[in-house]
Amino acid sequence: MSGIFEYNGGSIVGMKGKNCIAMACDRRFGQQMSTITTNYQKVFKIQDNILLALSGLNSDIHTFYALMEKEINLYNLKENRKMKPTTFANLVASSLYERRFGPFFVTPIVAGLENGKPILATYDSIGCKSDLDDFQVGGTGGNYIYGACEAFFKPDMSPEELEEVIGQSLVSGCDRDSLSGWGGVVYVLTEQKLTVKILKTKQT
Amino acid sequence: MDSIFGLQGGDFVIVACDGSIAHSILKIKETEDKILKLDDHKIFGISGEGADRNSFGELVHKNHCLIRYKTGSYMNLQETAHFVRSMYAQAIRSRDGPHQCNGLLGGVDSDGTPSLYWLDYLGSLQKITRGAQGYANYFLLGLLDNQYKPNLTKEEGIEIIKKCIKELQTRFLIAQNKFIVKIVTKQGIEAFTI
Repeated sequence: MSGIFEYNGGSIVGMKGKNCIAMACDRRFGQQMSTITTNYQKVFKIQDNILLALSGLNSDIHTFYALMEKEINLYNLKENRKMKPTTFANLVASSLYERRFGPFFVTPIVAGLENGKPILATYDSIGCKSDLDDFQVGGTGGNYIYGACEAFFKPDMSPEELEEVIGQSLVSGCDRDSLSGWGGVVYVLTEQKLTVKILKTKQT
Repeated sequence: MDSIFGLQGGDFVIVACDGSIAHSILKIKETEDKILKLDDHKIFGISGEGADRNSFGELVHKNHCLIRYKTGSYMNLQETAHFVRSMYAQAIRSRDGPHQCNGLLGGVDSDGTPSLYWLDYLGSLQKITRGAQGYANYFLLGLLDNQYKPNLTKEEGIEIIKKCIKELQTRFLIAQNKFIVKIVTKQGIEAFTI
């Protein structure tokens, strides 16, 4: 195995805008050089105001997502209130560190809106939280997407601009990475709604 | 070396497997049924070493029945697929290690909707309309992508499977003469050998 994080492939990216956040992911699921499906969902809506994107090993994406769903559902039942995005961001970090010596092979990005303020955090696979930047990337195509993001990004963009910029960054990045692509999905979250758009990338 | 492949049609699911058991250069058996019947409307084709295939198959079958006795009804396809996935996922970090087999789980729900799921030994899970496990991936995915269209009829599905078998027999280095094909429809499971 050349790298357990590169086994299934996939890329994710998150960006902050003015009172909005956007997440985008590609749609490929493969086994090293072979593509199995082209409709693989990597961004999950945890709560009305929180999105979780996961890239890495498919099995651990399923497992970690189920774990986070369980945690947030239990929290809702016990505390009878919704979880704040900053709380969830911390929860992800501590859940990953719980498995310090047998980690989940995932690189998550959490994005949310707390009282209208955008929250964005990314982690390595053992829970080191990084929440100071305005955009974050993850997955095999991450480095390619970084370049496109740096070029296109500017602070305080409107939801429409943000959707355009994150879409373009994802497409440019994934078109260069052989393990990511086969389409992209862009999620834009504002106080009022969540919009989902499916993009076309290079079909290879 | 096993080939397991399948496709989902408008109201049916087909899973096919090769029938051979080999040991080094010897072909021990040609008529081994590698597609397990979980209940009247679910089949699970497993590819991998004989021992792992049998033991994991039994584990899935018995746990599936246990849930039926505990809750009063069989799980539907989506629940079963996630349940089998969780068995795989729990095993990868366990003392005994992963279950060394991959699978294709297919079936038809009580409302007639067919589904086919691709599962691998690490606990990956994807709902698919056509797919294969093992070396068959390399030979058949292109053919399946080309021939597939939405809402296939049962006869069209069988034709495509026959083409896949012919392709394997022509191009695959390991001669696989007999294939066992199982089709699940709302009426039940039909099985035949090609």
